[in-house]
Parts: sequence; C-alpha cells; structure tokens
Amino acid sequence: MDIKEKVKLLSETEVVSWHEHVSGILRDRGAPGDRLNVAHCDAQMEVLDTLGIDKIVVSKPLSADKHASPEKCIVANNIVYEATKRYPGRIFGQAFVNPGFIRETLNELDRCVKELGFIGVKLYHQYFMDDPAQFAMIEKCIELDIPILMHCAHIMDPATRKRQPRCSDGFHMANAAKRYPEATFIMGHIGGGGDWKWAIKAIADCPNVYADIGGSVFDRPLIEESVALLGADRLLFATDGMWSSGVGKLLGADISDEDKKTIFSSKAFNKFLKKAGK
Amino acid sequence: MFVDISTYVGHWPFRNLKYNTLEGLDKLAQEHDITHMVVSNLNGFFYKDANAANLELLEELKNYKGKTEFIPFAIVNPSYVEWEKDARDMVAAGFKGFELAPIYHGYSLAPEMLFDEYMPKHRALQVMNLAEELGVPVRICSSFENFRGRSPRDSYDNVTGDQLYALLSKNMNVPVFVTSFSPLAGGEKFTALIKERKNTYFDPTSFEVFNSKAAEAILNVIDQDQLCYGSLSPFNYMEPTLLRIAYAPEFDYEAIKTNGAKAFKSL
Repeated sequence: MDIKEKVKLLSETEVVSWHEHVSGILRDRGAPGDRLNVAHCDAQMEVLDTLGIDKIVVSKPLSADKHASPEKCIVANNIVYEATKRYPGRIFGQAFVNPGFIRETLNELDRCVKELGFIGVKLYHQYFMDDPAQFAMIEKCIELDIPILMHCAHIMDPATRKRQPRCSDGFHMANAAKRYPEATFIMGHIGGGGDWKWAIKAIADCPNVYADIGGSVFDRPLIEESVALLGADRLLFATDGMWSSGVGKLLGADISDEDKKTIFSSKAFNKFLKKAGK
Repeated sequence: MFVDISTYVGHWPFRNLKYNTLEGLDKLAQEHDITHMVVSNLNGFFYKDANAANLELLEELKNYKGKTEFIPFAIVNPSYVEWEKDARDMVAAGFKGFELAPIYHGYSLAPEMLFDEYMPKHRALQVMNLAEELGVPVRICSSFENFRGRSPRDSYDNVTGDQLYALLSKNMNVPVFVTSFSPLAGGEKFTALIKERKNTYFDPTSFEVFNSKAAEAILNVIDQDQLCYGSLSPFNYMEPTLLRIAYAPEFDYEAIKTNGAKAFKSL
C-alpha cells in the first residue's frame, strides 16, 4: 500500500501529540527568546495539516541550561503562551520549570495552569525524576491535576552520559511513580535515543507512568514491544519535532488499526484536554 | 519499479530482529510495493571469515521462492586472508556488489599505519579497485542503531565523512551507496567531493524533512538522482523514510523510487 494511503488512518481519529516544542527568537547570546519564533510555529502548523495531526502539546525547555533560573523559565513559558494564543484549540501549553527553585516553581505552576491555561509540566535533566528536589513540584501537579512529562533516555554512550548526567530513565520514573501513585507521569520520547527496551521494561508495572513514542529513533519493533509491555492505552502519540519518525513508526507497526488510533489520539489523556475545555 | 538499496538478512548480536530473512523482507516489500532490494547478510559483520555469510546468503537465495527481486551484495573484509579470491568468487556466483564493514572488521576506510608488512596500507581502497575491475558497486552503511542506545559490546563509532572522503576521493569511478548517512553530515571536504562524485548515492534514513529546510539543503549538495530509497530494513520501520520521500515537495517521489536501479544501469 502506498504511504499516502496509509497516512489516511490519521483522518479517522483526532490526533494529539503530547511532546512538541516551540522556539523563541533570541534576544542576545545565551539568553532565552523573549518572543515566539512565529515562522517556526507557523511552519509546524503546516506540517500538522499535511500529515493530519490535530493538536499538539508544546513546551520550551531550557535544555542546555543546567541551572535554568526562574526568570528564564517565565520567559520560556510566556513564549509557549504566545503559541497557544496564536493557535487556540490546536496548541496547548506545558510549563517548563526547574524544581531546584522550589518556591518559584510552585508559583510558576500556579500561574501557568490557572492564568495561562496550561495542561501539563515539562521537565528536563536538571534533576532525576525521583530526586527529593522534585517532591514538592510533584505534589503541586497532583493538586493541579496535570501530567508531568520528563525528558528521558537510558543513555548508553559515555559522551552523552557525560553531557546529561542527570538524565532520567525508566528506573527513575518508576521510583517516582511508586512514591506518588496518584500522580500522572509521562516518560518522554522512547524513540529519543537510549535503550528503549530498557526504558519500557522498567515502567511496565507502574500504571501511572505513560510513555510517549516521540524521537528520531524508529527501530522496529519499538511500537510492538511497547504495546505488549504497556498496552496501547499507556502510549501517547508524539514526535518531538521528528514528524516523519513519529507518524511513520506508528503507521508501520504490526498492531491493530484500533491500537494505532488509540495511540494517535493519546486517548488516555483526552481528559486533560477536556478539562481545559477543548 | 521500486528499489530499496538498504536491506539485510541475518542476525544482529545486540537486538532481536524480525523479518530478517529473504521471506521476511519479501513480506515487507510486498506490503510497500517494493520490487527490488539490495541485500547483504549481517552475519558477515561478525564472522571472522565474512565470506561464510555470503555463502549462507547464496544458499538462502537458492531456496527463495518469493516475488521480490533481491540484489545480493557480498560482504568483503579486506583484512582477512584470501579476501580477494573470495570476492571474485562471489561475483562469479552472482553477487552484484560489495559491502564494506570497517567498524566491525576493525580497519579504516583511510590509509593506515600497519605493522604487518604483508597488509596493504589502504585496504578499503583495494576493495574499491577490485569493484572497479569487476564492474560492481560498493555499499557502506554508516550506522545500524542510534549510538545512544547501543550495547556496551557494540561500537559507539559511526563511519564518518572524513573516512568516506579518504576512500571515495581515491577512486572516483566505482558507484557507492552510502547508507544511513546524511549528505549534510560529512563536513566540507566530503560535501565538495560528492558534488563532483555523482556516482555516490544516499538514502533518507538519517534526515528529517518536515518542518526544516533539510530537503532543500540536501539538494544543494547532491542531485536528485543521487537520492535513492533505502529503509535499513529490518532494523527500521519503512514508513518514516517513505514519508520523507513522498511528502517533501522538493523531492521527486516517483524518481527516487527508481534511482537505485538507475545507479546500477550507470555501471
């Protein structure tokens, strides 16, 4: 079957990606953007229309900044807010925070959810997911009823490990999930590099940890094994900007069309969109 | 006609593979309307004597009754004894090209300082020169898995642009399929080389084309004719690479499907 025929499957459900990003226009070297990169944002929407993706949940993490300051987080989140206003009902926001600054983090989560209408939180590798520095932030997310998306990978190569020494993997996600069974966690981009099999096995018995399928890696049988270990209901569609990889790996998997639609629609998380009134 | 220039049978020691037989690949090909597949036997990356894997593939081909036409490439290890005789024998037996596996066979694509006097100093070039003599192309795969997720028993290295330059610049005549490697990732010297060396072919496994100017940038470096379809099956799902050639407006989808065949016709 021609690939253009296969893509039609996306039109049979509302497709929602839970791991995307927007970018900012840099104000000066090393500073976060002070406004949305509109051209990039608009280009993303064209891709969505081309492939049949309806909604995306976006963030702007400070990925290269180990000590992401509260001020920079606010700027980053304001850029996300600008994107949600530009495409209401299609782009939804996740707040990026650095839980090391706990008082500011709790305030920022309140602002992002209650004032800006964000529907989740995005974390990077400033701390492991099960680090005590995260606990108050997790408790706040339980109170606000928002899911926590963590940048994750079980990294094998020494060079990347050195660059991301606090990168969480399935082990850290499982630890946090067991401590907080009432919280909802997303293990980010199982196709984002790292040993994906290790990652999904580690969270298999943690029902409050979901996994998104984003990332550039499209190893066969990443999707089949994820469905076998977690079930389609615990998988969320995502590309993390790798659109062809994200859509293609799911289209190509040897699973039922029903399971594919469950994942494309990120069905388990519809409640968070509904809560936002969308 | 629809040619996939990047497929394999055999085992990968670090991960279980599905569809890793000719029958398995044929099933994938049928599902995706692919008519031809360039294939090698992965076992040859790990056997001391790579030619044993070529003989296995030959046997598998004899018993194969599927629809897809396979174009077998012999894995050649120029650091192993009598490699040249084996390579000649495999072409005589019906192999249509050579595959190099420098990372797994422990040699460089560039000239080397070797202590064994009987070893040629630029072993990969010897294979290229033999390929030229016999009129067959060469395939080099840069990587099979993302380096961040590899087994500690695997290598974290990929074949690099500098290595490819060191080899391809020394023999401009042999068609070479460089797979799982972005034409944009090879560095300045390599980029300049492939602009001239029109018989260097690439596949879309290593670059994203949506929401970036990658397709446009790639066509600034290579001609449309140099982009073939390749899936790196059975390691990868085919759909991501199909999406890349089908949806990037800069790419001619129908032409790319057949460019692999054109490469062979240019011999």
